[in-house]
Amino acid sequence: MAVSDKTALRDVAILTRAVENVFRKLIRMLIGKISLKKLQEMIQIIFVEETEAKLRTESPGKNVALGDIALQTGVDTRTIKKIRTYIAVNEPIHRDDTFLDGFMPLFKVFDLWMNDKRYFDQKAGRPRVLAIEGEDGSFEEMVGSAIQSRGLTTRTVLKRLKEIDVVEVDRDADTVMLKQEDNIFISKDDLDLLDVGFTAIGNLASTIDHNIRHHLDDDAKYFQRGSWDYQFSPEKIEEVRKSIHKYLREADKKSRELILSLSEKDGQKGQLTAGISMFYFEDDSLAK
Amino acid sequence: MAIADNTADLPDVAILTLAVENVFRKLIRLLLGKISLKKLQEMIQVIFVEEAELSLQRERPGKNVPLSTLAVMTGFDTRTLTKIKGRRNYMKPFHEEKRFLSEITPECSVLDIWESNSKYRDAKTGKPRALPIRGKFPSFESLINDSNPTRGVTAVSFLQRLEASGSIVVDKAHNTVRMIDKRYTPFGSEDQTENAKIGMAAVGNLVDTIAHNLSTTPHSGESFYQRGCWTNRLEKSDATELRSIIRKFLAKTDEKARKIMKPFEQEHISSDQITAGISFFYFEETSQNPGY
Repeated sequence: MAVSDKTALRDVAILTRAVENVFRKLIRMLIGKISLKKLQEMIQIIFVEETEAKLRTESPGKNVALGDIALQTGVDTRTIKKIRTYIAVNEPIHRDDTFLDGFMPLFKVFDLWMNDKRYFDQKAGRPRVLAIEGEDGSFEEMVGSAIQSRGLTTRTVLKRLKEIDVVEVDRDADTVMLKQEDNIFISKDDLDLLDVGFTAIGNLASTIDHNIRHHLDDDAKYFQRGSWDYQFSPEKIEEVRKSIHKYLREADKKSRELILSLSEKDGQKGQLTAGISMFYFEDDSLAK
Repeated sequence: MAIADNTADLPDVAILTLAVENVFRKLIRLLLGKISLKKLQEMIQVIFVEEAELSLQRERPGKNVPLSTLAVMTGFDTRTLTKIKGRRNYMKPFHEEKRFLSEITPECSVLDIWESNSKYRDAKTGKPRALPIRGKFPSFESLINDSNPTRGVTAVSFLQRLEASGSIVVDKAHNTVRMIDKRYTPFGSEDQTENAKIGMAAVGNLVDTIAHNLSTTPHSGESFYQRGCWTNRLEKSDATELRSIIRKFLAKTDEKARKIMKPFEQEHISSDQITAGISFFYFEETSQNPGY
């Protein structure tokens, strides 16, 4: 079926808008937890891995040509070669120390302060108070070893750490002290929430992918539906939440029983992971 | 490749990396062939800098955001940040930018140049010319060089993909190629595009719920409900039965949820109303049983 230019462009715009919306929301959540540099590195690796896997599925038993990956990615073959070498030589991203070291510029500063004996007093078991400037064991030296990026000065890093209330500066002594020794960029609770939440997003993305691929076969599609309304009064929203949460807890209990009824007692190779995910959402962006 | 890993021995930063990797992998899997890596990176880069700047502005309202602080947040040097901020599409939606849309995949760029560049249009009819496949300008080969100056991408591979998508017709006897449909639909049909749009909206809602839960105090009761239940021990032969049981169960659950929401729905629309709802979905994948 021929599609008019206008329809085709509209479809691309619809998809672009949907993708932009999702990535914007995800990125908003990740600001301050991962650097753009590392996120882009990760996306590049994943994109090439997934493209290669897809091309291999399309032509089983055949080698995937660099040119074919270049065509799908829009990236030149020299860069793809580099990424493929990285994939072949290195550990998975989350076990690659080099990758993790630069996860967020401030992570590395914090990591050195807490783990490097030049900046951590092992006897006292706490991070040293550092001279802001100078050579051996200074804050300046630590920032220099942690971050090599144009425009990133010791002063900028110090200013940012002060803004997020992680360090205390003694202007008279020209020293700086690390106030917070726990992980300063993400708390354990937030990490757990992100871990669980991102797993759910991943599952939802897989379900959507599956349903798009099986859009002509209703029986093969996985259940994915939302019920919502635009007309809830802000005064009654607490009550809405309470009623829906109560209902979802009941539904969750029943769904556990259902899933358990078909689950095997023992884990065996070749089994599947299957389940249900449910969540409540609110959006006040339409409210003025 | 599904990510199956025992996270017990991992440091926090690795757990976070794994979670981010998992979600981006699945989203990217969904987008393969619909957007090139190059365009996705362009989008991510601009969105990240925009969001970092907005976040810093919220921290210190009314003050300019120094490039050096943006550099701390992004890990990019100030020269690159100046370039990103200087782009035409900075702080503007991508879906309204024609250039971005017409270059969303390499194939799309080819069709766009063929159709819009006077070099490749017939002066009389104004339509895209039929082109010899090989040779100097004007040829399909030169069109590929003009539209995709990417090392290692051949005219033959473009020819195959565009022919398969029904955008061009190859005349093998005369070694020429003609554009028959200047189309690029990210999916094969409008139905699939609609499915993707609805699906991405659901992903957006889920991300909002997670973001909301991150912003609330743990155990304060302010969190929105977000839970999953699953098994890692489903026999493949039982999958069809489970899908069918769960479809019926979720359809019923959905119906009941609508009834619960109905009494709260205001009769008249007003500008301060809130959208709220529930989303359910079933998922399945190769088992992540530890040890297998």
